[in-house]
Amino acid sequence: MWQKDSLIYYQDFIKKVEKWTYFFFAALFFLIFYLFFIQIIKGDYYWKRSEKNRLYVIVEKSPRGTIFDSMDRVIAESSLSHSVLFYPFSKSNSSIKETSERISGILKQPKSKISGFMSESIKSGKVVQIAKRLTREQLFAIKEHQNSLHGISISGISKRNYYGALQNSHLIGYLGEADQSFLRHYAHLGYKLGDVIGKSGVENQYDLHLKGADGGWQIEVDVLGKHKRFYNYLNPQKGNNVKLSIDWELQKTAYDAISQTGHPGAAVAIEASSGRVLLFVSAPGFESNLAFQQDEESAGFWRDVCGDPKKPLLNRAVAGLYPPGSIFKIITLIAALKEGLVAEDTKFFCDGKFNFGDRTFKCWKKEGHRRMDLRGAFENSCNVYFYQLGLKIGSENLLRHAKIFNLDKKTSVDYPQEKSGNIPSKLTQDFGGESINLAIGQGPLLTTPFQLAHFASIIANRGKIMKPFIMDKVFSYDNETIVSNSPLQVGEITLESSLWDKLIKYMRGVVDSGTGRACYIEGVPVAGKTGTAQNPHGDDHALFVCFAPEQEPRIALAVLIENGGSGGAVAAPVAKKILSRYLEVTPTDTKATSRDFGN
Amino acid sequence: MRTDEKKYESIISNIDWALIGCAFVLSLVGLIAVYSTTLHTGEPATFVFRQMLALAIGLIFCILIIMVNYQLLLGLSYYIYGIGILLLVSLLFFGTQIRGTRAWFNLGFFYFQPVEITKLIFIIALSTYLSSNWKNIFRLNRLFFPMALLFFNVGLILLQPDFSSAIVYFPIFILMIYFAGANVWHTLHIVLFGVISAGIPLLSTYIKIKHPAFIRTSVGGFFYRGSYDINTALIILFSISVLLLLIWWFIHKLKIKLPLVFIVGIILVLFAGSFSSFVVSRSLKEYQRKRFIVFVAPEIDPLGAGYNIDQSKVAIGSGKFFGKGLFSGSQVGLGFLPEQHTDFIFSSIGEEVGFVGSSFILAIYFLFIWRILVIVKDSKDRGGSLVAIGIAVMFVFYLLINVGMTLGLAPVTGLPLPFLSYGGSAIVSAWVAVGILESIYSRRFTY
Repeated sequence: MWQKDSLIYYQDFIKKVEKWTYFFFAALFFLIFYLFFIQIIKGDYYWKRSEKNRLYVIVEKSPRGTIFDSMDRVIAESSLSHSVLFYPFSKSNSSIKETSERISGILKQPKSKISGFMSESIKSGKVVQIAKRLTREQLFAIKEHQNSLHGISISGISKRNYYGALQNSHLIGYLGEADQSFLRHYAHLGYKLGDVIGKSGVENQYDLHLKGADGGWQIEVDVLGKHKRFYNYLNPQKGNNVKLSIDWELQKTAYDAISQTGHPGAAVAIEASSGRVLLFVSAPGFESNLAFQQDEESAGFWRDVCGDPKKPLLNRAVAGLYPPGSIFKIITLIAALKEGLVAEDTKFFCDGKFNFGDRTFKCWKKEGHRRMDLRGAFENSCNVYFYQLGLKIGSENLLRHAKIFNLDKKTSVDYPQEKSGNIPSKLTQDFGGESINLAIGQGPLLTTPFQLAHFASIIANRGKIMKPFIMDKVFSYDNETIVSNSPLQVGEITLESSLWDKLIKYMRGVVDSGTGRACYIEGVPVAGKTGTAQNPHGDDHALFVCFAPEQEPRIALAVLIENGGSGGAVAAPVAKKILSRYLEVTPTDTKATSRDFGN
Repeated sequence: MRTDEKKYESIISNIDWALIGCAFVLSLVGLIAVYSTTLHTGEPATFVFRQMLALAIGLIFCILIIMVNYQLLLGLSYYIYGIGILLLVSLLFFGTQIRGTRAWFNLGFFYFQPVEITKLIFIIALSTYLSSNWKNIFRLNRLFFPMALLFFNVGLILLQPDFSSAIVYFPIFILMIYFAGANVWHTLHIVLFGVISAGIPLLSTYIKIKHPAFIRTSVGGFFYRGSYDINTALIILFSISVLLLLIWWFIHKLKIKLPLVFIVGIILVLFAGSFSSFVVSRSLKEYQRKRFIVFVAPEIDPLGAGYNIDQSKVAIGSGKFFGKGLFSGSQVGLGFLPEQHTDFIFSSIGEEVGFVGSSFILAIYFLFIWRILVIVKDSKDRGGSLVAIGIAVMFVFYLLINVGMTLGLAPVTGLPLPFLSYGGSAIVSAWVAVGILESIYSRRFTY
């Protein structure tokens, strides 16, 4: 209260001051609110940033998980190799000199080189690597003298080993470093630049499970990047193991059989009842052990592989697109029977060629099959008979049936880089004659061997569509199952039971007495279909799909031999070896392989 | 003698212990914080010792000033103001230059920064004038003298050049004349003057960095040249004046009554503001301009000036609720926090003692300011109230700008946090301010 002024002036003054006091209260309240916001609400974010500021991690890569086949045989595993690190935290000169002497003794390397590393480390204030790939003896010697070796530490680096690398290379894939374009899409999953990741195959598909968590030495650094002190060691966490449904022995049999033909090729087998993929081979394979090495010894490998005319990097099983050839006659047959356009006793005469308008379509058998009924035409893969069916069915109807069997879609197997086949819903130009070509699987039709194997499995299941899968289960190091696949039916193609019976009977006939005789196995009823896909760029591709045993199918198989020639002569014998191996039957009739029973 | 003793007894019994207590707690916290933030230099004891010495000197001054009747200070205030001006002038000749600014006297054992004292002197001198001219302060001509007080002080500080110390004069001046009864329009004109003089250099820097294409256009280039070339500036100013007069004439013709004085006032402010902007522009250093720009557009310079604010936020935020523990802040200990024992000391408190500690500090400041406002209310005369409100504005301004800066809410201006930041002159000055406040408060009942 002012003593010399009247009250009214005092009150006026105080009123003005009070008005501004509220501004102050509001501002202070806001500051406390904002402190609450960044310390409590966003506290974890800033805490992580401060940790990132101060901790520099010398990464120790986690060993990737092991990949097993269905019988627990190891396909891929990681092993550790060790390197020596020097930490410049000890300041005593005499101990450094002593250490460098001892280390050079153990490593059998000149002392000057070792002490050069050390002085560089002390000068820069950073940890350096002195030697890598220690032998067992060196490792033990260093561990033994650890206490007297000041500033010396051992760090582990994991290395990937593949067994049966050639036959499994496409299935398993290979490793590489995460690059910028990869990180743009996947950084949110915790990937960092320079991480070792699966680039293709199972390594890629199940990378998040296989990769584990990197560990390493956390070192505290100051704002200038100087290493101040050793802070913590994080144990690298080994990745989870993956067990596949694949059969190692089958892989080997198939790879060898394809290789013996002298052509590239692919073979895929699926357990029809469950959708488990038993066989997944693309030949030629590549030496996946060389594909990725941290010390850049793989440059030569990549040069060789990329220059190879046989294109070993092309995954023919899921990414190779081939016309289905006569295998497509299965679709033509089903369409014709379903629409009632043909009866079992409908007969056509084949004299080796078929005239339509001013065009002439040939049968693969020059002299012709003479007069045949439906069954005979299918078993002997008579083109002329199917030309007639094609004309009756019409191209759009044929294509629609191919789509019913999902030949235009990916099978959605748990494998990356799968391509879908190509079945157009309409031909761009159809003068009536195009359905003739379509009926025998030529024209703008493309399928992958994997799709054909899946197609065979659908027939083996009499229409039940199972989702194919390669991974059986993912389990941790202490054998705890993390994810597993179980059979899953994803659709069904309903046809009259008698139609399935007829189709399967005919397919059995193909192997028993038709073009697929090269796959005949004593005592095992096999149902199959040969295919010879015309290839504008070279020799025909040999194809064969089959399943066995006929009534209770255990395996559905597709074999492709690129530029191999006739399906019956080249692909069917390979299929026979694979089936025999899987069904534990010793192939007896070796003579059959040398004979050509038609396409 | 007996009456003297009695007088001192009454002074001591009437002292506001809460105010002194707050200041003392803040000073002690400051000592601990300075110790923590200088640990990484290897000799924290030196820093803490200097700060303690300054605290001791400050306490002695505080006690001495409590003993002195503030009315005596007010009576002598113009002489004291003269001494202050002399200090600032001699600083320009005998001062020690540090980082391009001639702001310190080297007193051998420590550097003395006169501006810390002259702002208190300014508050006292302004209060003296305002309290003896309160009846006519609403007249514009009564504001010329206060403006001269401000002009000499700020002008000499800008010559050092020390832009950040000069800023605090404006809120003090404007709010004091406003509370004392100055016309609101006059006050707004002065605010406009301040905005123009600081705004032109900052705006031109902003445009230069953010929109360089604008300067390359002929019109843009012309206006940009006006920010540093006096002839161009005159052309622009005269054209704006003519334009304003034309607008007035037009409005006048429409029979809307608008006093011509109003327009003339604006034109005068425009001229004065533009000219003073040349002075400000010269005192502003490149890094200071940049800091301001970074506050407006932080994406410009993430590793330079923006880096400081970012690291400060990381430090405070990472403290979370309870902090990382005293002396164990990693942002502080490993040197990621810039200027951590001076301008950014609040960030280190946030990191080491968390939300609990930093909001506790703010609560003490709140109590401290609240006690000053009580003194404003309880002062026995207008002069005392005005001095107290001037000091309150000064502390509030420092507090809000400094803490706001560490949180990224205010530009990095280089204003210290009172009582906490390392710096001898600032500590002494803050305690002298406490002494003046107590001198006012303890005499609230005497006649």
